[in-house]
Amino acid sequence: MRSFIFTRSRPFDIDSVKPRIVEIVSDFDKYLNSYPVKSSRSKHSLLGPVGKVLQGAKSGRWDERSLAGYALNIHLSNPKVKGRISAESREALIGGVGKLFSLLNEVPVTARDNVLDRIDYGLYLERRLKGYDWLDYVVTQFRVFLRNKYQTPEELAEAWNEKPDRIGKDFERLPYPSRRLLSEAKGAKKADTAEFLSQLLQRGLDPDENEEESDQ
Amino acid sequence: MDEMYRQWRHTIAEFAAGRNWMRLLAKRGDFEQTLFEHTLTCVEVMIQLLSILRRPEHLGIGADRNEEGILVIAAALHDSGKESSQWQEYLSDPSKGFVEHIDKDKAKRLAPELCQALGFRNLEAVVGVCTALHHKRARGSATIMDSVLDMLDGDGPERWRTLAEVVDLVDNVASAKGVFGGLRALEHSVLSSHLRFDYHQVLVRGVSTVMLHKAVLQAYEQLGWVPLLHYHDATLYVASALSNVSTPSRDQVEGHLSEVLAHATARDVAGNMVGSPTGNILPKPELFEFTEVESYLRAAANKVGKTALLKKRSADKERVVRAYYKFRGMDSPPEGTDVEHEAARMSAAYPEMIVFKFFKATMSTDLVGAEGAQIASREYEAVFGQGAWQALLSTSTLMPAKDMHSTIDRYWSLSLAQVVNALEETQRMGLAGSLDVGQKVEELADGIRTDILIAVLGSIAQLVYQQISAAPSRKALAGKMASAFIRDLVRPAHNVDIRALSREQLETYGYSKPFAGKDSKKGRYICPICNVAFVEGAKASADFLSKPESHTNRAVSHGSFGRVIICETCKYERFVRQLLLGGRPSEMVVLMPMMNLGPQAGEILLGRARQLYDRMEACMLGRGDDPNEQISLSLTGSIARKTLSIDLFQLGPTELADLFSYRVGEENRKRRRKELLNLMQGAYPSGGGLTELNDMWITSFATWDEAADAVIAGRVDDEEARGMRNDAYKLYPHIGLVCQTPHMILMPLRGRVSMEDESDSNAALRKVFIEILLGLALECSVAIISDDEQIDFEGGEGIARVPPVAAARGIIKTAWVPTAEAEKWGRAIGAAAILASNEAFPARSGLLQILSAPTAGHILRRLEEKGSSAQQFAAQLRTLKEVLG
Repeated sequence: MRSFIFTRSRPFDIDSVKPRIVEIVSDFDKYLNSYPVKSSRSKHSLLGPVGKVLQGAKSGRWDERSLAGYALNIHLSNPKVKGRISAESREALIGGVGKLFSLLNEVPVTARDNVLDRIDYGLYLERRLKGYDWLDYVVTQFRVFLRNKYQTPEELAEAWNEKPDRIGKDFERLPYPSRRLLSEAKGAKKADTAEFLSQLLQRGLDPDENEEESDQ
Repeated sequence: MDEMYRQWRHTIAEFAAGRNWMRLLAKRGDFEQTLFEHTLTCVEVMIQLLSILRRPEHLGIGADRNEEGILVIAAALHDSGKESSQWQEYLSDPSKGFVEHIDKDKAKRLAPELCQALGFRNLEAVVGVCTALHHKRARGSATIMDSVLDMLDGDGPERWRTLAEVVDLVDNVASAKGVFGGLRALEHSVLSSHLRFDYHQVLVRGVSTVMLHKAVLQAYEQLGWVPLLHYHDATLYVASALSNVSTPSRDQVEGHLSEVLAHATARDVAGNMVGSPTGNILPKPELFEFTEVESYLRAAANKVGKTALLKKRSADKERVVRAYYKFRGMDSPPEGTDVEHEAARMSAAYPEMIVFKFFKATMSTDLVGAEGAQIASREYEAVFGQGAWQALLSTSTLMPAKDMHSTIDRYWSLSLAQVVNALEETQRMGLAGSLDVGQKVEELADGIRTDILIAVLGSIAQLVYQQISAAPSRKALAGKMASAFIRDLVRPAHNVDIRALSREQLETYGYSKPFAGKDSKKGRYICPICNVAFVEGAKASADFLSKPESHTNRAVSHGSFGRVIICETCKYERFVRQLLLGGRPSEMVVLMPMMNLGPQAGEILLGRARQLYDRMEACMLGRGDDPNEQISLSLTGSIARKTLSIDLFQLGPTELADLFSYRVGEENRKRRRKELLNLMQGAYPSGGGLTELNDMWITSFATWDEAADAVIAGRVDDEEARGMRNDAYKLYPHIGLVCQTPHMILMPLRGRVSMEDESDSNAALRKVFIEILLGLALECSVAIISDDEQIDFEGGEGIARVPPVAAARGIIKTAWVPTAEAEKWGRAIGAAAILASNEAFPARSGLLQILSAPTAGHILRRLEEKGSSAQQFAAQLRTLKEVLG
């Protein structure tokens, strides 16, 4: 009589691959640092080519190199990049795709969607938080700029013809200095916003890069 | 502990806190202990032992003052090597490879700072040697030789080896698991011939355990024992080997326990006496004190409102009135207006119905005997007429139609003269002095009618008590409770024939099944709460246990099932809980030392708990000028917002109480103010009411609003005004404190730590958050348990117990939150609570849904999809990213 074969299946613990997921997110995040988003309003545009990579990996119809090539093509098609990609970014993108395929090949088929989901949303959170940091940075700079110019919120309120409570006791209620603010502002407010934005642009910074939250 | 040692301990505590040892672990495994706690425990054990070792007949340590310094500083620094990040990493993951914690050089480097603070010089070399030799594993010949050379070089003490062994002993005692581990360490130590040791141990039950610990501690200390370390269930004591101290007897302990209980339970029990009008109206007859019967009757009158029946649907009202007509022998059904009229009469009579019901219970043969019942019958009928006693006895739980006919109608049909004749002259003048005695009782105002009834029934009761031999009194209760609770004392033990005991338990186990759920004189029972075998117990009412009528597998599966029978000890445990809180607690916060605690650390823990409670009590009772400031442990989101800029490890008891305080909303503030005005205007009705109020309160308010403002701000020094303020603003202590010894501190809670209609999993996470804050502020282990739950943990398993709810434990992945992760989980649950207030998450399970999301990105997406601005929650999302990924 043949001896019995005993098997004991152990459920896959996704937390066991957490460090590798973090590594992949980090690679894609590094790549996206150099990718100019068309608009930061949607998750789709925020993730750029990486969204397509994750979609392709989920479909199972791509191999590693083809998918990396497809992502590069999307990158280069973006008019803002003017057909260029730095070696560092390229390395991060291709490295991320490589690690992603290697991880997907190791985890059980049933866990693949969960792994991709975690990378997808983990990366999305990273990009969004960076966007928030950028908004905070710009508005803080705007506050410093106006404080240097007007010293007190009351003086600023008078110059802008605003109620003091719209400025805040420590300039904390100032609006985000977006292009929309510039187009809608009048008088000293318009002049100050324009001056600040031109200073920002001179430093190579675009205030509207992550502006969607500040518009609300 | 004398003042110098107290100061030393304080200095060392500041030193350890300054090095951040509260965030570092010294022990992890079965028990957890922070480096801060372990260090201070060692220092305290050393200081306690010094009180004996100073004597010349022992080691005579005090003769050379430096030796005291060496021992205390070495006790403080022997584990300083554990502060290295490598060792901390090794502790959290031993698979990374062994890291040595004995760091002689570090102890030598740190010693000068402590030496200077404590007033010593040049002790670092010998402190280094004591550190090097404090662990058995490291005491090889090389280390010994190294130490010898060290001591030859410097001017260290001659008996450095003995001092090192004392430091080793202290470390072993402080590190040992439980009281037996500590005892073993003492027995096998270099000091075993100098010391006598003993211990007390109890079975942990609940509030009674706190009292029992206090009683045993008093008994030991009275005989000259010095407490060395407290554990949740025990205390280790030491004394000089030359002293003739003895172990206290159980009788001595029982005497102390009786005093402790009498002192702790000496309070107004009127609120606890009246049970449910639809169930057992007198659930705790043991608490009954015949001199207080009028206050109980008054509490009974306040048990129900006067609109209960009026608020019911027309069909229900008609059904009740129809039944009432039937009792009166009227065949014709009630007309529409009759229904409303009779329903209004019955509604107004509700408080009086409960008064009659409670009076009937107090005159039961169980309380006053057959003779008393006979006297009661005679006196009652003298006032209410022939047959009235039988009519009263025929009533059961609240049934408005029957009660109206059997008791109220008889009372209301009397003339005032007939009723007040039963009263003494002074009472008569006080209650009915200005009334027309020819009036029918029914014509009187509701409040006056009830007051007269209470006075009449109270005077009948007093007549009965005067004529019977043993009027019911709770004076003997403390003694009865003490003899029940003493059964939980494991040591000092009495001689027990273990074989006979086992045989008895086995027999009871076999015999008890048919009797479970049945109150029988032949019955033998196993207590469903504490598993003790007993013969005489108490039928559990809903006042003692949730769902006492639900079936248990300890009963046979067929036949009738009444209520489970619980043992006397469990019954008294529930009495004490209710007495201390003034009602049945829903949940209880249990604070326990993390592993063990020295006597001074114990005092500090008690002090902090009292400080926290005093601040909370002041809020709950509206002692400030704003009764709208209240205390809640359930408002996790609001508490979390306040913790955003706070270092959780620096929380003190007062700051913690401030975190738990909140101001009620605008709408509720208006409602309560209106309620207060209603109470004031009700007591002093229109037409000169305000003038009368000013006369009574000796005030000069021009308007009602002015008067209300003054009462709200607590500026009116009048008992009635304060009572109205308490009633309108519901100022009563919904949290209690049972704080006697550091073994275990309890805070019974009237309400649950949860929001309305919240899932158990969500509430469990809310509890963990509160536990973490309490644990960090008071430096102890914390668990929030339900009133029916047993205390089956020991403290030291972690800082906060995750309630046994699968979903909550699935998220935190452990039954206790380890100290090292306390801040992480505290912040994460706090962040989740702030996010959960957003409409993107359901109130029922928001916390759970957030904390069980696969990543923080999923939460962000959900917020965005629901149209919320996620930017305002960036800080919370970052916090959650740390936990979820």
